[in-house]
Amino acid sequence: MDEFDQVLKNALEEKAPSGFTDSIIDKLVAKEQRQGIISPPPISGKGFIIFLLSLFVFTLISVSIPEDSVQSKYSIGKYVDRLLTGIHFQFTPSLKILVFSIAVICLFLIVDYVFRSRKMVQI
Amino acid sequence: MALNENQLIAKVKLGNTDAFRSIVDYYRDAVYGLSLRLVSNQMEAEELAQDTFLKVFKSISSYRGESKFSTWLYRITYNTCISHLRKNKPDLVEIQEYHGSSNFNSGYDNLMKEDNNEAIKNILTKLKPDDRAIIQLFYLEENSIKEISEITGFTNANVKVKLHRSKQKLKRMMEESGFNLERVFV
Repeated sequence: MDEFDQVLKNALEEKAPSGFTDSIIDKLVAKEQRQGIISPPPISGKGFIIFLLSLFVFTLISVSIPEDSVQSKYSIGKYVDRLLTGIHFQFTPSLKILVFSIAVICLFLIVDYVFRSRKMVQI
Repeated sequence: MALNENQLIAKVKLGNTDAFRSIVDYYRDAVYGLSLRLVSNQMEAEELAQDTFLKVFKSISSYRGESKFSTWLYRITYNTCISHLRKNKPDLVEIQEYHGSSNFNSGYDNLMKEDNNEAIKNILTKLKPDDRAIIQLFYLEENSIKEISEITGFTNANVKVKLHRSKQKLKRMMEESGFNLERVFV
């Protein structure tokens, strides 16, 4: 490196303004927070309680389906059972509980997501 | 870098902002310097340097370690600034050439009043942005010709030619401005 190179090197040095790093981190955090609003978490706290209650109610319904539901004329379970047998599958009571639970979870997640997405659009 | 750069990068890939802060602290002067050299405006350079780091955080998962991290970082800086110049000052990118000493403050008297470094920076602004960037990357950041080629997208031969011509041009402009190199070392 000759004299000219050394002079040039010294002249090229620059210092970033004070607060430069903090400003970037602030922008980054703000950006992440915005993205957090745009893409909602998979489930909200309030929604989770609603979900548990729904699950409880649906489980009660599904358990209430008697083994011989065809003879049970006025049971809610009878209609549910008919619906299920309509798709030609033999459901044991425990399987019914499982199916209902999954159905409730899916339904809840869809409703919860749509609700919060609409809310975010308003924001 | 005191801490292992690869470890920091791995942490940043997991979204660790503290690790990212360390990277920003280490490279901020270099990125800001390169941005400033390209756009010749402090406000714009600061903004572009910040944009660069935000892009780095966002796309760091695409960094596979095939080149040095600094090369990857400078490439993002270079592209960000060149895009900005093309968008806002298209004339500067293609046309800005030195046509003698008549279009900037020249003369030994003026230079005497200025700090030597400021005088050189002033002369540097008369080069094309990509030539300035090559000078910055070569002399200050001490990148190799191959690395500068990766950063700017020019071929190795092109970088060598540009560097040589820019250096000659700078020397000529400095002489025409009455700049005395020996004075700097006194």
